[in-house]
Parts: sequence; C-alpha cells; structure tokens
Amino acid sequence: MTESSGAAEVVACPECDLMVRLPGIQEDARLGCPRCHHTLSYSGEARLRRALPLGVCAALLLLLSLSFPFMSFESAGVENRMTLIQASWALLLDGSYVLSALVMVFIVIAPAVLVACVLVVSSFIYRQKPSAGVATATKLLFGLTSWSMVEVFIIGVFVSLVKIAAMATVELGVSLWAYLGLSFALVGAIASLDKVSIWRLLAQSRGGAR
Amino acid sequence: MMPRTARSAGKVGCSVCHKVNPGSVAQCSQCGSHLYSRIPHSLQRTYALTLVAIVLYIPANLLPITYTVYLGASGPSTIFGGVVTLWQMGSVGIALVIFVASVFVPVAKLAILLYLCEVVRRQRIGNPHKVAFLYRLTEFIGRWSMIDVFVVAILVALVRLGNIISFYPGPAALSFAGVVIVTMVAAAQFDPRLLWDVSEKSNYE
Repeated sequence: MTESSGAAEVVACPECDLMVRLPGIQEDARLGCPRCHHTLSYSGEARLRRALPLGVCAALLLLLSLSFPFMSFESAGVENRMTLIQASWALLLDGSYVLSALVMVFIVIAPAVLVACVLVVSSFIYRQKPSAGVATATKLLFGLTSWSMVEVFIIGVFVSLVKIAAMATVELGVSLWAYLGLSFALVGAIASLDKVSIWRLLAQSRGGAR
Repeated sequence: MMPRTARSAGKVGCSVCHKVNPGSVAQCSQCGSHLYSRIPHSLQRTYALTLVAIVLYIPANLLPITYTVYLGASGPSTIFGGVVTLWQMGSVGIALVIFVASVFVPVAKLAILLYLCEVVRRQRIGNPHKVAFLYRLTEFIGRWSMIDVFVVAILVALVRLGNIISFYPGPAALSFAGVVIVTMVAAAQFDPRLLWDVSEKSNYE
C-alpha cells in the first residue's frame, strides 16, 4: 500500500482498525468505513470554511449569555433573578462545592475553551500558516466535545420551567436565548471541522515550511 | 479473505488523527500522540469504572436529590419521587423525559457496557454491526443523563425566596453526576476495535 502520494490517503478506522484509502474529493461528501460504516471524514473545502463564521457567532453568543440575566422567578411579590454563572454559584453558596465546580466546567468553561479552539483551528484553515498552538487546539477540540454540555443544559432549563411554572411567574432573559443560539452555533462549527482534513492541512503546512 | 486492518499489516492506526503508522514507532508521525494498537487494559478499565458507576448509582437513587422549602415546611425528594410528582401534576411528557434521562439511560448504559465487556471476554459475537451500534449509542447518549443535575442547579439558583419557596441541593445530585461522569469515562476506555477483532476470529477460524 502506498501512502500519502497525491490526493489519496490511507487512514485506519478508529472503530474497527480497517485501513481505508480516502479519495481526494473536492465537494461535500461523507466518507464512511466500508466495514463498520463509521463516518471517517467529511470532505470539501466549503464545509471547513463554514467553521469560522459559526465560531465567531458562538463567541459573541457566549459573551451575550454571560452578561445578561438568564431567568427570573417571582412569587408572593418577591423576585429572584439568576444569571448563567449563578447556576453554578448558588450550589457553592449551599455548600455543594464539587457539584458547583462540575456544573461550571460543563456549562461555561468547557464551552468557552471549545469556542476558543474553534476560532484557532478555523482561522488556521483560512490562513494555512503553521503555528504552534493549532495542533494542541485541534486535539483539545475533539477531546473536549462531549464535556461541553450546552444543549443538555438547555433541555434542563425547559424541564425546570415545567417543574416550577405552576408555582410562580417565570420570565426568560436575553441570556437564555443567546445560550440556545450558542448551542446551535457550537454544534454547527464542530460538525463542519473535519478531523482528517484538518490533520492533513496541518501536515501539508508543516511540510511546506520544512 | 481477512479484512486488511492496521494491526494485521503490522501497523498502528493513531486514535487521535487516524494516520497509519509503522508498528515500531511510539509516537504518531503526524500529530505526535502516543500510539497504541488497542487501548491498554481496555477491558479491565471498563469493568472497573462500570463497577464504580454501579456503586455510585445506589446513593444516587436512595438519597434525596433536592430539598424543597415551601411556606416554612421542608421536604426531601428523590429522583424517582420527582418523576412520580411530575406525572401526578399532569406533565406526563416531562416526567417521561426525566425518567428516560435519569433512570432508563443510566441503567441501560451500565448494562450495555457490561455486555460489551462480556462479548470481548468470551470472544463470541453474533452480528458485529449490532454490537457496534450499541457501543455508538452508549458513546452518544451518555452526557444527556446530566439533565437532572442541571435541573437541580437551575432550581437552586432560581428558586431562592427564603421560607416562601426555596430549593436546596441534596447529596444524590453529586452521586448522580458521578455516575454520569464515570460511565462516560468507562465508555471512552472501551476500545471498539476489540469487537471487530472478535468477529474476525469467529468468522475466519
């Protein structure tokens, strides 16, 4: 088997170890493993270039969702507002230190790091100049994806709404809608960043510098 | 004909960037990651983590996940109690969401992880595609069980009106978060390539 000559490239399927020759297709196409049907790669430049606008969008939405009230709750004339950070902070106040830290990681820190990684990797795709941080950002991006739980938190919000809607008046804030937008932007950005293509581009850019 | 896997060709597929490396090197030539043909001690690690998750699952269900103060009176509520209360309130849909996310999915995940380990340990597999589907399901669905933990975080932060009405976190919230985290790590430690190794043996020997 010849490797990395021209457009065709051989990868090992991470799920079944089969060696697969990937064709160098230019347009959007899904390339699956012939044995276990695991999606190996999504080809196409256009798809990769979608990541930067989505990443910028996600960064702005994250900033918005951190700077406005998330929800407010009113009963018997008394009102309480919460921000996104307070979802973790209130647990700390009530003595659940570990839980507070975990929630903070899942809903703010991991998404923020992911957004930063998306920006680093997707701007690399536009400039194609090698820089030290890109490989680390790529590894972090794919390693951290399942620990960022923006969309899970959104479902949690709607479940809580049903639980307390009967008890009092609940109002939804700007931050909630921004966070909902963030969940779509982040999922879209990560889905458009194809792992195999990024590593191939990184290898090419380093090869050019050599 | 045997499927041409990286291992059968004496090579190692990188688990980070999927590049095929010669079997003699320790680091991937493309991304610099540590190379291994199969995750070391994959079965032992998955078994051990699954056992930890099973142990954590007991306090997660027996202890209260929240304490509610309503007009001065205080009461605990468990995960299952919360599902029953929602059902009685008439929110059948949401009760089902919580039941699936907090009761059904964690139990199903633990059962699937044990089943996957047993398949590899006994070296017998029926249809590898079906077993691989179970593995992917476990990988994909794990984080969604965190819904109930987030509901606790939101209620505690939002409903804080002193004696009128307030929610406080219970010990089960941390145990349950532990179950979800440990099963996510257990699923990540299971090497799906082992399933296909078993299928090669049963088909070609």
